[in-house]
Amino acid sequence: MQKLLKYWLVIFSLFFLLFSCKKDKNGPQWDVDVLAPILKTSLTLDQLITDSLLSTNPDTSVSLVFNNNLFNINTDTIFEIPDTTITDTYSPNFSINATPGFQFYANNDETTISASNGAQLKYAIIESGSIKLEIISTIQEKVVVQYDIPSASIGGQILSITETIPAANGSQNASFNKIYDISGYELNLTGTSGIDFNTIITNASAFIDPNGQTTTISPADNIIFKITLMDIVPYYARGYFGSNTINIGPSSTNFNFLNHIISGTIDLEQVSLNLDFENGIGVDLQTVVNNLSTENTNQSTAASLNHSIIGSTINLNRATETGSIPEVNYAIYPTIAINTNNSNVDQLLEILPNKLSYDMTLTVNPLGNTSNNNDFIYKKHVIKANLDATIPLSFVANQLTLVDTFDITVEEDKNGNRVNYGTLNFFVDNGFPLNAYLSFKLLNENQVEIKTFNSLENIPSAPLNASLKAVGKESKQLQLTLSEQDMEAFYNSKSIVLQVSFSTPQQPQFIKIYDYYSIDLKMVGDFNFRVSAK
Amino acid sequence: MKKLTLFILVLSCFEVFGQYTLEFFADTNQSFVSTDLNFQFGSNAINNKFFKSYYLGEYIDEELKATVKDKLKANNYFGGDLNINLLLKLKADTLFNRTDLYYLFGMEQHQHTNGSFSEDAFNLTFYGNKMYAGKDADISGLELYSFTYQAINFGLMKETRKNGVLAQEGFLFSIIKGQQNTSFLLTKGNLFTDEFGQFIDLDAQYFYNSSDTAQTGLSAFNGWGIATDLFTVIPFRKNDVLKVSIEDIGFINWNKNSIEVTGDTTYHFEGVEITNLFNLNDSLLNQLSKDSIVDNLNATNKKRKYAMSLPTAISLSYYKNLKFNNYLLASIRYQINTSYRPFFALGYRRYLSDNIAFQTVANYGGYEKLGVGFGFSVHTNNGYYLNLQTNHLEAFFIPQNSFGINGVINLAKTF
Repeated sequence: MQKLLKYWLVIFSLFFLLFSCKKDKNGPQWDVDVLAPILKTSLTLDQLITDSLLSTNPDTSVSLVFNNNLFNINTDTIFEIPDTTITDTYSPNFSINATPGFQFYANNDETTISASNGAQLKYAIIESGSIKLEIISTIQEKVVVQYDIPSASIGGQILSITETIPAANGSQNASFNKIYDISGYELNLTGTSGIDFNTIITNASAFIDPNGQTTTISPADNIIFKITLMDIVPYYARGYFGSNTINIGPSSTNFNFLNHIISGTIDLEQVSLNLDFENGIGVDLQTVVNNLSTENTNQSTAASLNHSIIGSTINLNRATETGSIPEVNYAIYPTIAINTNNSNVDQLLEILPNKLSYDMTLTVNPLGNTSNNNDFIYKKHVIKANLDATIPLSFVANQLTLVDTFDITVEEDKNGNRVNYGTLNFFVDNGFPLNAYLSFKLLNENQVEIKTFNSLENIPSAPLNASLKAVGKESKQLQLTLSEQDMEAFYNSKSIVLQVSFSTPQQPQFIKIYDYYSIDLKMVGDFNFRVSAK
Repeated sequence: MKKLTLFILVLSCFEVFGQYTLEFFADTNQSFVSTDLNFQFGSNAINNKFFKSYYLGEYIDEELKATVKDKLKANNYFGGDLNINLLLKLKADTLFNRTDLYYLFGMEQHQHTNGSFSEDAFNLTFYGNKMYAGKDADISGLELYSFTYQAINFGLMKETRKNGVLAQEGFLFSIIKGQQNTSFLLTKGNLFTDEFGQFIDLDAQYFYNSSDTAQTGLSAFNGWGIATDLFTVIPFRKNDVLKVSIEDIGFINWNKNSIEVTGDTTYHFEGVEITNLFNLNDSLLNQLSKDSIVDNLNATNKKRKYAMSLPTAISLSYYKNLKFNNYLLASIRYQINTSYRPFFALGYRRYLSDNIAFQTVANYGGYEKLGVGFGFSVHTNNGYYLNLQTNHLEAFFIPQNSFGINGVINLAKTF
């Protein structure tokens, strides 16, 4: 019976496993026709243009605003303290029997450093920098070296270096080198007389190690001292910074503000630029704007500014020291207004530029040493030129084409549910006074175009009242038919390039954009959909 | 006697449900072990061809869908079971000082599904909502109910002879391990699709229960329960017999990791609201997540244990001896707590020899419509028995025009 039971359990188990275990098989599939809304959105200006670029005027119309820093002139441009090496060599004229502790060398020296642009520095505070001390000795005993730089001090203490140089060994010289950080040190560059400039005082002395042995120093022996000022960056400097001319440009900078616009024309009703100069340095300045222009390298167009400022001399007074924080009172030149009334500035933007070019000259101390060596500079206070632009969104546009690319992933779900084909219906309520035309391209993962859809119809402008203000919205239904191949392209796409061309109605009148304008979009899918049940 | 044995064997083949389908030994000294597999599926709308394609994971084309659509009524239902049983009937030498008692031991696996749906629910599922543009789709009454469990059985049976004919009565008690349960009921459901697809309105009141969805395999122990079967075979004169049984009186308690979701909501959908059209992917995906959809449906979602009654089945079968190895059978069956309709069967059996018999049966009801069945029974002289039966022979020949399918395979050995 046991054998029988066992046999029957096997049969039962076979039945059980065969019919009850969940089979990992595909589920049934069928196609359905689905009509359903997919998404809805309302596009306002702040979604199309970065908030920081928009400004709402009192009448609720909108202006584009942006700020561009043309240049900053700081310490490096006015002058630099180059790396400077001071070399001192000791060699006796006759042999000396040097006992331990015997001072065999002492020398006080003044050295002039060469600041660039003819700067005559009296005083400086070091923000960062170092001193490198190198010593080579042939003396056959340890030598203690003391190197003082009375010109450098911190907290009232002068820079003093004491080091023990190892003994030379026969013909093998002894060498020593070390780097000392002098950040925070004050440099008095007036020398011993107190009226010089760019002058460093050094005191060097050397004596036999008190714990050493008596040694003979012969005329063949020598000690070479090298002290190098390295990477000196002043936080503050005073003196006379020379009279020289600095060329700013000709130079170009990328102008990305309009980089989404690829074609078309625009006529701006008004453009307003404010050019500001601020002088945070204690020097007199004279600047000349030789050229300000824009360029569209894609269309090979360029426009140069015609304004009274071009070629004119602008005199900037020197800043003054406050003795407190902030350290300086900036000298500010009155704002230079550049607008469509006094220039062709609108043309600079209407070519839809991608480059901004400028060429300026800056003369430091055009009248010489009028400050009596009291020019000053703080590293953090510079000479600045800023360009503030305000562009009211009032314009005439003709096929002005914007393009943007954004990522999208359309995937079958893991069970195999997918859209076979169908139609995308777009219900558009346009509250903008713009006629628009949409098209888009699908790109694969290698950014290669796999499908272009140009079939969407024109979206008409919102109706306008007598003041050319949009009142209400214009409704339009657009249809995009998607074949099976089109859907396959969607599934293979990784990004969409959306292109919108728009034109203003009632040309040649300028159309103003108000902040409450919006466009409502609803996308409805009318699809044949493959259901994969599992 | 052997004919009677075979008769009872054949008789038992009409019992497509139940764990004790073998009461075919007239000799009270005989014990047996048997195993059987029985399955059935039926519907008053879904034909066998459609069911086969669905079950086998095939593609359901428009032509196949139309075969069901043409047969849809206001209320449509379906149901099915798959049972596998192992039973040992062992004679007790003496038990309670009696010698006419038998022990019953067994184990079983039971899978059950049933449901009902409206015509609109079928259309929405298999055709989509586009055909309802500008109209309402009434999906109220959508119901789906399924469970799977394993059980061990034990019971007692008494066999006596009355008028020379074997009489039986007994019970079978089951301890159940609940594997999986799902039940869904949409008491109120209306879906309106805008003519242009610009919005969809859903008005629904629903209840959903499920056992722990993290544990669904054979080893899942998501609930426990008990059930009892009662049965009796009453012989009459002239070898007529009445058989009565009540099966699956019981319940299953599903554990505290079970899910209950209820909702009564009116949901208006106009598309996913996109705040940043230029970051479409994240916006769409975030709002189309399952959790966000559930949130939007105002569902109350909680974990709690709950109890479920088993679908109890009541069967009556009457056997009439027509002499000369011919027999007539009439059977009625009903199952509560499901969409099962009263089931009626009328059959004819004939012995071809002492070892072979066949039968035919016409039946109607349950989950399906009219069916014609055929059964075949054979046993060897050393006690091996094989039964094969179906109540729906037409399912194999005209699947598109038949609405039920079932089969029983039974193996037994006496000792």
